[in-house]
Amino acid sequence: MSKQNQGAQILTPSCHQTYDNVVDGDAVIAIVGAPNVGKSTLFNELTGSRVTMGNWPGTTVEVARGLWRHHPRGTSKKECDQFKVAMVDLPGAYSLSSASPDEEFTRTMVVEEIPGPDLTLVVVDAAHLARSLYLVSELREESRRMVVAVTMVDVAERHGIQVHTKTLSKVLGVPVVKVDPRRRKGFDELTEAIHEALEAPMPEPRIRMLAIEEEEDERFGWIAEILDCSMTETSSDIQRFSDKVDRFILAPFLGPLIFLGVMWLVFQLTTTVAAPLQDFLGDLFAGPVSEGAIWLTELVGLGGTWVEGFLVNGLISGVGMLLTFAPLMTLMFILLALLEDSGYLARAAVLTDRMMGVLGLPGQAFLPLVVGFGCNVPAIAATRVLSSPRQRLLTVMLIPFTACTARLTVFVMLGTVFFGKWAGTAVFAMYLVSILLVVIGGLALRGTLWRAMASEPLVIDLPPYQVPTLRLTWSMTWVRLRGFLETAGGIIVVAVILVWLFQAIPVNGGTFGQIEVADSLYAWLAMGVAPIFAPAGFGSWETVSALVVGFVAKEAVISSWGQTYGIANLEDFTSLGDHIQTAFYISSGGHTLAAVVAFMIYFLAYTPCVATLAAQVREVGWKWTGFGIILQIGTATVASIVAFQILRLVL
Amino acid sequence: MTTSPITGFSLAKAPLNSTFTIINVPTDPVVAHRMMTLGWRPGAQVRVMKKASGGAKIIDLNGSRVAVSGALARTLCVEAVA
Repeated sequence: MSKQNQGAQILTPSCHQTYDNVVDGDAVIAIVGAPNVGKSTLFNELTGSRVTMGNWPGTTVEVARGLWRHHPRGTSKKECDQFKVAMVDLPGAYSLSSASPDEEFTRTMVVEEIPGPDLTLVVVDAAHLARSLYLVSELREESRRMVVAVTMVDVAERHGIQVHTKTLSKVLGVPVVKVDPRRRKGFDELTEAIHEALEAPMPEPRIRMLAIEEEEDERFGWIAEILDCSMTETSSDIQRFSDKVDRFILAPFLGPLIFLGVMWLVFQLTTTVAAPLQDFLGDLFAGPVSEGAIWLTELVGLGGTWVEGFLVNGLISGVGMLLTFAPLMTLMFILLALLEDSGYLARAAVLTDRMMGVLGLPGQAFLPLVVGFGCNVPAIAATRVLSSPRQRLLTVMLIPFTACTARLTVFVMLGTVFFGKWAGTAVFAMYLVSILLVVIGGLALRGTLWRAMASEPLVIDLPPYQVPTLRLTWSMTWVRLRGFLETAGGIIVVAVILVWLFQAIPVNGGTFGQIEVADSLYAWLAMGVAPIFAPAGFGSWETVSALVVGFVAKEAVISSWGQTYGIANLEDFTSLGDHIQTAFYISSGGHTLAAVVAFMIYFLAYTPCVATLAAQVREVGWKWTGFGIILQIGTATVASIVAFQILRLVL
Repeated sequence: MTTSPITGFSLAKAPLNSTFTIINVPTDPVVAHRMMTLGWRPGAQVRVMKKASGGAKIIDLNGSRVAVSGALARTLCVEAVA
């Protein structure tokens, strides 16, 4: 933000001046507004593809910056007459308080930074004008150039709300323009209003009513007066219909039943429907793509070398793993968008609020935790439904304790091998342990780290039900999916390649990339780490190396055991089971079952998989992901040791 | 019309589908701010639409529906419309 408040001279850029090389543009505009008002859509439509996304220097707040080029009215269409505005899309904020880092950042950028932006563009939601105007009331307390853009006018009208922009402009004391960023409607009016505001003298700040002591009360009073004269509301059919539906959705017995039905559907869709797609992509990469790569390496004379190993077991396997998550994530994001957009999610929050309140979490946290039992990766992404960053963080920390279906396959295998006809009971017990870990984990974190987190009482707006629009659903899905692939992609591929690399480095002689796992650096490290697990009864390198593989992907553990013991046929567990039984018998000093239970608990609680970690990095950053890893490994270690030491007395 | 000497009572006790005047705001400033953003302010009118499963009250504030937990509803005071 360098070129500031220089008045009218910056509005007539000469063709010969080249200061657009020096500064970002002819003027700097900051876009502010409450979350979900269409602020970023407007920004994207104005700036087109000329956008850089990233953390603002020195902060962790993500800010989009872009250049808006246009020809003001009355200028020629020549390149040199183009007006260039540096646009900064600030994070969503309801007010300028310091309640959240995002709001604090917005405050710094718009109010405290000197010089501030040349103009502040405030985006407000016509359907929720009352809550959009608080920010405007604060911004109007000082003299600054601003334009208010009203979005969602069509949505508001469908709900019987009419916003009178002329009156609104008069009472706010700044220009007000209706825009529809998605359909690019109202852009000419907006452009004109911005230019007029840039050229006009600074508007006078609004005078606060000093009779009212509390700043907040005064602002809400001001807003109420403005709403009275600039907005009319008629009870709409939609609202009446919505009230009728709510009679069932929120009813004492039926409501929770419908809720369970919806949760069941989400769970089914994210497991059974996504599974064949995942399998198909998995098979595609393990089969034809890998075979193609092997054929190619042989063609160039590198068959059987480390190059082949790197391509097939490193790169292709990593990219394949990332892509197998794509259908699952797409489905999850579509379901999230549908639930949010239809209005049901807010009702679900009302129904589950009291139950989740035990963990200090709002009702919305129920959804990600349920999804976690299917797969942790989309569950982490589903924490987006939580508005409070702290509650989101707490939920992200708890999700890895939910027993996903990949862990289930290993539990079923171990249950069959070690518990025979009690296999089902053993697996069921693991689900109970999983729920217990979530509850204990939640209570423990609330009692320590998040002690200051007051359990916020439920106050939630229930929007009228609506049929979700395909366009909005798809755009929300695509933005979230792209974000996941960008952040998670690198992490997953690098992790898979690293495991390959460790398995390729020989320690007992041999050629790089052409050795058995037992002779690799990987096995050597597993042997070194194994004694740590002796108190839990499973301190053998074969078992530990299975855990390391499980760190990359839980479902790969069985095949890794097969690889370690040199067994090709994994359909029948007997042969593999014998090997595993022997390993556990030796490492536990004869208390096999106690060690297996301890191992299952460890397997349940420790770091889920690299894809979950990647999703965590995406949602809460490296620092908290690291804290999560320590929390999970710590919990797993303590729980498995306690379990083994107690159980070996009886088993 | 108002013959009862008690003018204020808690929102949790307010009968369904009648309109009342809001008297106070929540004591917690964060909650107060959120409620006020949704249109809750002393002097404004409110109507309890329904008690939801789980104990929350669904209220009508300026034509919008807002769910308020039962516990919070007990701390909010309303009175009969003058």
